Amino acid sequence: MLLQELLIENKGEILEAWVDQVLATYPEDGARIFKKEKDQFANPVGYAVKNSLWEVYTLLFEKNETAKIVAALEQMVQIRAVQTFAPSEAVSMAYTLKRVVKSVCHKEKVADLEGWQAFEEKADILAYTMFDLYAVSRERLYQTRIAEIKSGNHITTDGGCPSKLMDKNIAPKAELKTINV
Amino acid sequence: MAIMKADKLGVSVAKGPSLMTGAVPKKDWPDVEAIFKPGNYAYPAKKEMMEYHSQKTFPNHPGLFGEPRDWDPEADDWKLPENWKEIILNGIKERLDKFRSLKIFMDCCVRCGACADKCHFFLGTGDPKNMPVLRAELLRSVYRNDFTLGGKILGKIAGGREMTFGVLKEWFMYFYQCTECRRCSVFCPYGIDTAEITMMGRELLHLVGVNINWIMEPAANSNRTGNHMGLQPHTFKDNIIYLCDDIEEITGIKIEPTFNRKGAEVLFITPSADVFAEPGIYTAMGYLLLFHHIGLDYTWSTYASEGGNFGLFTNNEMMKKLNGKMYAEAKRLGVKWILGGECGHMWRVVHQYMDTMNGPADFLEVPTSPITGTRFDNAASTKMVHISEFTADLIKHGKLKLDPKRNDHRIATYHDSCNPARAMGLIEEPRYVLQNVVNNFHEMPENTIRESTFCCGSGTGLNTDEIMELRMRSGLPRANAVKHVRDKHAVNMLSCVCAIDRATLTSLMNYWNPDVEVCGVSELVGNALVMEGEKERETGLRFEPLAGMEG
Repeated sequence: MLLQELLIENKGEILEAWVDQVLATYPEDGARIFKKEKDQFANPVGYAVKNSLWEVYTLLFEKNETAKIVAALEQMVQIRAVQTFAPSEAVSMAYTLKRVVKSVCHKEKVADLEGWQAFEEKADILAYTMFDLYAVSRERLYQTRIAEIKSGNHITTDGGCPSKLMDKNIAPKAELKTINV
Repeated sequence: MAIMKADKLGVSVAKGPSLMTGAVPKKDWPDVEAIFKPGNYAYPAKKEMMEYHSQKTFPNHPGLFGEPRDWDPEADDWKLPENWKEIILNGIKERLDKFRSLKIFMDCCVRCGACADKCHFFLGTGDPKNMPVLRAELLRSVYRNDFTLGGKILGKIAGGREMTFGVLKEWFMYFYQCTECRRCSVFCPYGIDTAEITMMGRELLHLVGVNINWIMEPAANSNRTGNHMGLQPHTFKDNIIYLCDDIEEITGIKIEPTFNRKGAEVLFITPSADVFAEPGIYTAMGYLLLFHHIGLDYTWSTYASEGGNFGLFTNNEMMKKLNGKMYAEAKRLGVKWILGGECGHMWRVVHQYMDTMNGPADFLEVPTSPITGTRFDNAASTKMVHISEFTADLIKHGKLKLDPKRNDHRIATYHDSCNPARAMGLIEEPRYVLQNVVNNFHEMPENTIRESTFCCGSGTGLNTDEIMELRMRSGLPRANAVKHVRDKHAVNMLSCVCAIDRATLTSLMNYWNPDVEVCGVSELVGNALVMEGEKERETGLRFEPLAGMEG
């Protein structure tokens, strides 16, 4: 059997294991609920993980799929970029897929070197894309923080009395304090 | 850090402590230690701030806030008083006697789990201690250990836990990962108000000097100048005059509001963020236009210059003191009733506590709209009416000349701010107003609005930038629902009736849905109002071009 056939025939099993292993990166009690709840609004994390992985899996068999891969992975990576993962854990999903597929190959006794090379190339594209999306998300997070500081919201605590800010001698000092936050 | 092989990473994550919270999934929850790292806690209050509160806010209440000091949540020593444990246990005892609801909430939970997956913090983190039932258990386990017979005899077997420094750290972490939004309470068959448990947890932490600056400094500002922003009377007035200048530029109408005017019929109170910070100022411009449009006999106050009340997030003494200025100013000015602006937690304080704390306001009249004659019997006890109720009544009686086409550059949705929706039942009025001032409106999914609304994720004084990541994950359920209507209906404006929302949803949208802006409902009213003698409007209140005026 060729690897591609295996990936298509065992799609259900592979995806289930992939989703389960990605959700297992969350605390056990949380992961249980993330796996169970089907409503996308009552369970945004579980839904995004499942949806992203299912969508991206079908793209493994398509050509010229870069934009679609980005769209499929965006929400999941954006979520993981603000959760309590180390960066490598946050985007570890492509490696998880390789592990799952290896295990199914082993079980089905499939040895298709060419097929594996093609699959690995695709999996690597997923890994690079997730890395890029992660970096974009973190950048956006910092931009969000900067925008909030610039909006004047921080004056509640860091600027002293806004009335005093009108005094030009004090304003630069207040600004410096903001940068140090 | 050792470099791990990729295939071992997942395993290491599942078994090892999470880098930020220390949440270890393979251990029982009481054994999981709370670990403070930059980004997962809000900064403690500055020493001078706590000295201010001890000396100025509560000179006659020693011990309310512990000993003022500099301390670091990441350190092993929080410089707690030697007898801190005794202070906490005495504090619990005092509150069990004082607040009957706390005693009931401590006893009646059957751990059915109905609340477990309803909290936005849990949904965004997966951390079991963010399940409301477990967050409450952090306090309840200590209650069981020291205040119930079963716990005193059986200890751990009866679910009891000794009060330790580790428990105190958990309290500080998780009672500041709850925005008191009360979504979980909607699903609790016993009606346990987890917000009140968080409130008690925070009160107890204050007794030993464990607190956050983002709450204590605005509270100090509020005590000193009347508002969170620390605006002194002349600045408060100047800012509103600046807004009037902008209104004149946009509409050609000159508005001259009055301040601290004795004998006005109505006192208007709104969050100071509406006067000072974007995008709240556009909401304030909406108020100014509306009042001018109907010729309301009202006054602003530079003393009662804040609707919000960070005392609600501190302790009941602070809440009562900061709220006191509303009735005091209404009495001093001799107004008939109070009109309140778009604020969230202000309305929980007004609706559920003000009358008991600082009433009865028997010097005021039951609010009656001078324009429509409608008597607001729902506000018969507090004498304070919400701007959305007031506006909806005006529209219902055909008293406003509106051109909703002026909001055609907006495709709006509505976020039910937690406190107005769940603490005072304000659900239909803002929607009725929106139906009349915007042509393009789409609701978010039913399980994310009305009583089931998801919090912005940054309420209760958590809207500080050092915990931006935490805020982004706790705001995920709300942002996720906005994303849905943005993708499906091209929604580009998220309207709401809360000042904290206006600030925090803006950041939330910047991260999750950058093309969606945030506004108060009254801003959209202001855009739509056809003022007598106005010039042709080319822009909205943000100086943004109206539909068809882009060129």
